Amino acid sequence: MSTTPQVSATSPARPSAEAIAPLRTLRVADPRFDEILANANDAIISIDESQAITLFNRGAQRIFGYSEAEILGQPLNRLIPERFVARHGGQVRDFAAAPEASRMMAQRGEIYGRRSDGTEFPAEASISKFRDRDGVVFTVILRDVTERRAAEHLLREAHNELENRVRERTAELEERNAQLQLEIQERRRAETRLAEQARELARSNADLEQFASVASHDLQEPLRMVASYTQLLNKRYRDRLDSDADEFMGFIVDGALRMQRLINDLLAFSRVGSRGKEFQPVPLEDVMSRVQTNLRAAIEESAADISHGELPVVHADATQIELLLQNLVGNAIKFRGDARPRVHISAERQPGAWQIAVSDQGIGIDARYAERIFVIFQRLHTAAEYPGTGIGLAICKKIVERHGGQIDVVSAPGQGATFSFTLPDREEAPHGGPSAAH
Amino acid sequence: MADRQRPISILLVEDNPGDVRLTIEAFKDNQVDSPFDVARDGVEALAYLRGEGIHAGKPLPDLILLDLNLPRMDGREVLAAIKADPGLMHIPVVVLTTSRAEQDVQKAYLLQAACFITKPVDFDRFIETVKVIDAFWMRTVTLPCGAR
Repeated sequence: MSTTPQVSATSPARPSAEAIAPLRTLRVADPRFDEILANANDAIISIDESQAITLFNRGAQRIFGYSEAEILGQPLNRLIPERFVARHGGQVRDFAAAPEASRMMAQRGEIYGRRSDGTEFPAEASISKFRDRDGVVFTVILRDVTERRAAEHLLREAHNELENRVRERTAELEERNAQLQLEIQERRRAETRLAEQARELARSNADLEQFASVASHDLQEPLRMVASYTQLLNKRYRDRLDSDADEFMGFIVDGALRMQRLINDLLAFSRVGSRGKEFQPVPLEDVMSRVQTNLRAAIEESAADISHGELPVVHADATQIELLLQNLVGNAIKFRGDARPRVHISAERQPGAWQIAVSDQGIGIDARYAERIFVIFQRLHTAAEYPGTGIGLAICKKIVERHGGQIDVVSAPGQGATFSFTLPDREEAPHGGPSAAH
Repeated sequence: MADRQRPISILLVEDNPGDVRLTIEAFKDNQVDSPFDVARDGVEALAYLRGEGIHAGKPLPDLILLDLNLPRMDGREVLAAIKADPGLMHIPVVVLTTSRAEQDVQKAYLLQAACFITKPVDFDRFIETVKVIDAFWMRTVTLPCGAR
């Protein structure tokens, strides 16, 4: 903070009677000047060459707290804070010698006044000079700028506060930005890793499917040789062999045929992933009528009662959804127990997906085995009780999972079973409600 | 018209001797007495059909039974070559193979196979299949006159 004294008074005080003389002269000259001086809001103070105060208007009296009688004839130093007094005289002498008639004070900093009670206040002032009969008269016009300074101070503080906040916020933002950058990098790395894993998975999946497909074809050939030639042997040489040989050959052929079914099922299972078609809107009502057509023989043979509620249009692979429902309905008929099979298919809306349920009143499944039945080639019955390789539900699960859904079973022995699976909506556009039932 | 009194002649293109013998046995079981020739791979099959080398002067078969998985030149290539050859394209080709892969079926028909038959594992069903081939191709349809 630079403060520069602008006025100094070094000479001792003179008797006030002498000092007052020029004022009287002014008043006499024109009473209007006297009124202007008296009524001015600013302090107007004149000093003589000895820096004794010769004029002290009402504004000055109000601002400094001195009466005219108290201050006239007193040195100007009375109005200046102690610490500025020393450098003041030089400033005034410098101005006295300068060619201009007036100048602003405080050109190099703020100036301060000292009130009668010793307190200080910031001020703005100009000084002017003229010469009369008695010598040079200096006049200071001064304004108390306490309020303005306070306001400026507040403004500056507010400004600084704002700047600080901006700085802090900027720093915060930069920090957050840096964090975000780190997160983005981390996420990019994770994405790269994921993409690599996905590629790896796709590769190994493709390998597996290729393997399953090739193995299926190539395994069929020797199997066919085993089965066919055993049968040929049986045909041509039955008479020349005994009944044991007959039985053995039967086992060979059975084994080969069963192996062939397993291979074909494995192939079908691998095709769920490798031969899947594009998803499209599929009306389940249509799918159900095709399923019933496909299963006509089993339905007629068992006199099964197949019913369904309102079924929606789902976003799916039509061929696979047909296979899925056909397997589930086929199972419901197959594991019927003694009663006439009753199978009901229903749909329920869930958030973001349809849940389709296939319920029967058949022999049911022990809850212990609920997970196992979805595993490939897992069976709960002997081939003599219920024929089959144990591929159907594994294919169902694979189809549902390829559609992004889940399959579950709720059942108890003798209580029937309800297989339900979910089919998530297409991501971009959800599907409409169920179509009317037939 | 060719005289249909004589039994139709068949070229079997098959690399597996077990399969060759099995086919012969199946024909035997069905009392099919068509003359058989066998080519063990695709290259030999085309040489036979084009009368090249040791096959010079042999008459064209009335029907070709073609396996798909063959050494050197596989069945698909043989089929494509036959159907691109003006001297051979009239001969019906029955694809008789272990494969039941959809893409093999598609490809075979695209290449103008007369039909696609998957060899059954069960010998009795194979005999049935051969019986159907015999009944249809050798007793029902009228085949074009083989010309060389």
